[in-house]
Amino acid sequence: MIEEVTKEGVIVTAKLVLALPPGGSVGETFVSALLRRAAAIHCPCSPATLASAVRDSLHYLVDEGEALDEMIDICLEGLLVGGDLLELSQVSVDDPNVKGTWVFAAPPAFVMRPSGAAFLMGISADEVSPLPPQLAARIEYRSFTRTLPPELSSAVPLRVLLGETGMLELPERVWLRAPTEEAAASFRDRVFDRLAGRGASGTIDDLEILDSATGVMYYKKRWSKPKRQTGIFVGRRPRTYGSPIWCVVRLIDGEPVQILDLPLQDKQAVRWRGCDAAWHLQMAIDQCNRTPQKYRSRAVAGGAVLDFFSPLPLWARRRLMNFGRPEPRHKSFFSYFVWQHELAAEEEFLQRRLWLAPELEIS
Amino acid sequence: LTSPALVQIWPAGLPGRGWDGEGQSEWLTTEAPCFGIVHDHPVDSYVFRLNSDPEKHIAAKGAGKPIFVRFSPLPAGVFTLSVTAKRGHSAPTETKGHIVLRVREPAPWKPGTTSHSGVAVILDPPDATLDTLWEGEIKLTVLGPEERQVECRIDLQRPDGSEILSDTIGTYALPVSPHDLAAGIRTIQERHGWDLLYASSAQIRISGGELGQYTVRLERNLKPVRWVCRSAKGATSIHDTGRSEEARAELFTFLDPTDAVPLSTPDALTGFEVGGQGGLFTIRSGEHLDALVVNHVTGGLRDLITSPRRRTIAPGPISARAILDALALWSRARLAGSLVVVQRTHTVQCLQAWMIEALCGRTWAQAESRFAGYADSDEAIDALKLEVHSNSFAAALKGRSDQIDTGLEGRKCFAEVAARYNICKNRDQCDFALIWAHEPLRLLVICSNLDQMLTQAAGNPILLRGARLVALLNASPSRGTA
Repeated sequence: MIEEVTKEGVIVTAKLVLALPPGGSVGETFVSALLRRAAAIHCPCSPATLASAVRDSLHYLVDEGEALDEMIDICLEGLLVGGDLLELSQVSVDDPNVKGTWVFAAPPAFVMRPSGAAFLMGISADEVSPLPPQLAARIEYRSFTRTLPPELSSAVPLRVLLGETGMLELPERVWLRAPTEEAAASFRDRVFDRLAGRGASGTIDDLEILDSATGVMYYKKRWSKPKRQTGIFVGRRPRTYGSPIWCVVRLIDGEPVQILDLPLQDKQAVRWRGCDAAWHLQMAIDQCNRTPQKYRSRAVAGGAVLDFFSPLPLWARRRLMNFGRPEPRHKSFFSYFVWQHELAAEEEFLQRRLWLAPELEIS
Repeated sequence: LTSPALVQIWPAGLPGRGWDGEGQSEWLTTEAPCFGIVHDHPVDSYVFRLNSDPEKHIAAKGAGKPIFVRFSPLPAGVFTLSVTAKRGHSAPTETKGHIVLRVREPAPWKPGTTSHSGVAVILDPPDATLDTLWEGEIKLTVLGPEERQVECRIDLQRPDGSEILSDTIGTYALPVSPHDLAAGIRTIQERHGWDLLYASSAQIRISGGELGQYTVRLERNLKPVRWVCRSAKGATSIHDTGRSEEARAELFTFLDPTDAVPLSTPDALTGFEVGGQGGLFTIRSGEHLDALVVNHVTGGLRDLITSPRRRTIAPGPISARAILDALALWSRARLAGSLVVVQRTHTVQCLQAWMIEALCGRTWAQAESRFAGYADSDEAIDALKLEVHSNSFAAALKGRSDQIDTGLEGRKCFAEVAARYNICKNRDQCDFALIWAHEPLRLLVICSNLDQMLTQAAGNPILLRGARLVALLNASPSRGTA
């Protein structure tokens, strides 16, 4: 049967196919599900291909302006953080055409959370979820995350039920892997020492730097072209094809003299993305300059919402995702809810591992 | 649709599977396909027809304004949708095109498979080293397309990059479980014996032909100096920098675990047999250090575990710092020999007791010793509380010990109690005492002014005893914490 439907009807139908809660609105949960479907169809491919596929499917259904592009970008990053998408370093492939920036659909897997709930990740080609219908119906969607709450009345533990489906259980230590704990000064000095050993860089066209002298509360405004600064800066340098390369650069009077690409190519750092290494380094630099980056804690029922004003490395966001959930932004770069009983430990993690300082709530 | 005037049609609401932009699309029997249609010229209506089904007429909107249509889920098969854009009644014009919908049943997901033509590897622990591999503590899972095989090989290199060996661990059908690979690794160990310990790096190569190759790199923390234990009886060192004159080798025996006995550097370089029961062997070159505990059980049962020789512990921060450094050396050393884990644990516990004695006093150290083994006894707890030498402080700590740990809130709670009973009002000192009592080695990582903090701490033994009281209560069997 063929019938004419409204825009809302199309979205409602799509949500039904994607097993999402009903409704005609387009939010991060829906866009994330569309990206998962696009990944099941197109991966391995570039993130831009996924974004484009989703944008095409929403043609004429939503306002197709910057807000949609931003939402797609947020959800794409969320799927990487949440383990639905893998990067080339995590898989093998024998296709010479595959680019280093391409992403892959992760096999379905789960991580048990401290609450007894399971965090779901991965993509199966044709099915929205490889779970049996009675379990799939209990999935809770929030932005780019999917969790399965424990069923206290069930005689069979959730872990066993999920294991029986053949989904792989990722140990928490694998899922939450993070760099070795280090003092900010030690981390900064280690990177700066490596930079000091580099030869002359020569001119770098279109270099952008993250200026440590600027306020830590406005991340986007911290980026600029070098002017007459002297010192060491986190930077991004363009390349002919693909996204810019993250780096750390020494400037004298605004001119680059030494440059070191991130992440450092050693056995520890190679596992992290360039952006993660750069953001972590900037946190160390800001801490050493006595202007630590900030987070804000807002008490809400059951816990607190933590607002962040700069990006966090993937391994830190994954932790917040594990011990809380993404929340709508509130005068911030992004926000996470964290349960009360996990809050102290997570705030300590932010302060000790990322050298963030708490900021009082701005009313 | 081809026309000078454009009519655009596309899968709406969901990214189209198999959509080529020219009319080919793929759907599942579980999906209700939706399409959007928009035109850039006047159109009155659209006529849709799926295969030979009856036509469906839908009124068009103005140019640039889309309409959307939805199909009921279709059975498996190939369907052709013809779409005709009509204008005018007297001299009608038509623009016609076709969309092919290939509909199939959804393919069920198969556990252990990947959706791309390649493998995905999960390494646990994520920071595995070569030592972790030889200790059998690596879990490697390989996922990939069903009914395909991968070959797993291991290559080992010396510190200078030269190859020690390259051997096959095994050939496995996907998915490969950690158990499969562990068995293969054990075979490699049996086949190549102690030579493996000379390796400073390894690559496990997982190759699946056209599935590509995934390499897991495992390194031993590369040090210019490092001990290699060649057999259960002998130990030898390898000096990798080539600056042998700078190397300094020492032995700390189980009897005197804080006293270094110099070893002959030439012997250390060429190899020597471990005498007696063994101990902690260290070798240093400049800032580089390697430490290895070798336990060589020589006699009967009574020799299984050796306790340090009793000594007088000098009170104060200097002594405490020296013992803390020794504690770190012993705790972080690699291990070789039989029952070495048990022996090292015993030595570490003794060193910790000495460090506590240096800062909390001999009487307190003896009280801790008496408390051990009776941790669930109220009498034993009361006896320990008395030795804090501030009854009210100790009682308050006992009452709130379940809220106190080295986390942020736990430290805050400890500092509140210490301030309330006028034991200490300095938050840093309270934090230091609590971490020292629970995880002393962490101080070596996080405390940049350790000597200064130890000196301050030594001036407030009640605070330290209180922190130790909490640590002991929290470690009691009924609490179930370590």
